[in-house]
Amino acid sequence: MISTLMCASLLAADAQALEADHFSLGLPAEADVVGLAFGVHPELLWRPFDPAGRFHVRAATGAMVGPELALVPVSLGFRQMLRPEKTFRPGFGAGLQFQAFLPYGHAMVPRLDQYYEFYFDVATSDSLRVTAALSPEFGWVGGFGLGMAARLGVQMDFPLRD
Amino acid sequence: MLRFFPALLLLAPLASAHRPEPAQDELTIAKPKVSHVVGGNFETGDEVFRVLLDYDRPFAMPMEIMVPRDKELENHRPVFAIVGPGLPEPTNEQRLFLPLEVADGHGVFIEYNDRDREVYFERVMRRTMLTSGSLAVHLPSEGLYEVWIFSPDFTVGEFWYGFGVEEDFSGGGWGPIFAEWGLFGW
Repeated sequence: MISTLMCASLLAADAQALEADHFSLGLPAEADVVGLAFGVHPELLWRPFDPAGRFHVRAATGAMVGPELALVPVSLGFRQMLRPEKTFRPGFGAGLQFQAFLPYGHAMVPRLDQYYEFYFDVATSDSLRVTAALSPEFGWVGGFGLGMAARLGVQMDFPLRD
Repeated sequence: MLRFFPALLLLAPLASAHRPEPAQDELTIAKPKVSHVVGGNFETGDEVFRVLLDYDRPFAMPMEIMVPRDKELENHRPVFAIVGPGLPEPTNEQRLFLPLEVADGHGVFIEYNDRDREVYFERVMRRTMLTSGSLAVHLPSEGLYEVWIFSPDFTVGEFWYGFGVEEDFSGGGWGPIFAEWGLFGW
């Protein structure tokens, strides 16, 4: 997966790929239903090959707070949209997610997870979308563990248009 | 990538974790060396949950009892007692403390859960618990041991009783997590 992302970066290492229309910003609220926690999980999406393309590199971080713990995820992965030209767009993704768990009264517990993502969005204007995602997580490095995040938010495609 | 998803799910049972079991009035554990977490809830405070463990040889079994780290459960200190062959005969004080009669010829070990408790982060389900601390209890004989889990001060709330040394999730071992989400998930 990391090799895929590196290849994408190398192939797209021209100035055009870094223009604003290759980027989107997602601002989802997140509920974690394994170890209850709520928060925000903003994400930066980059379409290295085509500003209207299917393939996205996704980088995200956030902060979640719950009754027994807080956590800070840092994620790097991809998202593949299935019908990028349509108003309703399903997609899927996967990646790696570093989790810093902060259980109350306990030292920080780090873990590296694989995450998967089942996603869809609906365009409400040329540059704004309402998004929803369900994301199972499996921790392998730093102890086995489960996770399930549900996200609901908005996504802005750059440059912003009316 | 998605084609690997089922493979990851198949790998999950190989990972280090405790097999979940909801507590019952009487729960028989078929493979008592396998790591289990028995989760239950004291609703009235006077319940006694019994766990039956049948060993084919003497064994040193790690055990602990936990409650969720929650302000409302600060004074909730459930206790477990192991009753069976070869353990020390209960004192009169212990007999008065226990909720059930110890049968003739059986002894008892009691985890009073009265020390400072550590915070334990349970990584699989991301739960933060207060634990009595793991004890390796020497079960000096083969045969049937009973674990009695009770709340001596009649406090109410959830508990987890953890024990075992081996991993085995065969036969739907993960099922109770989803069936009893309130106990093991959130």
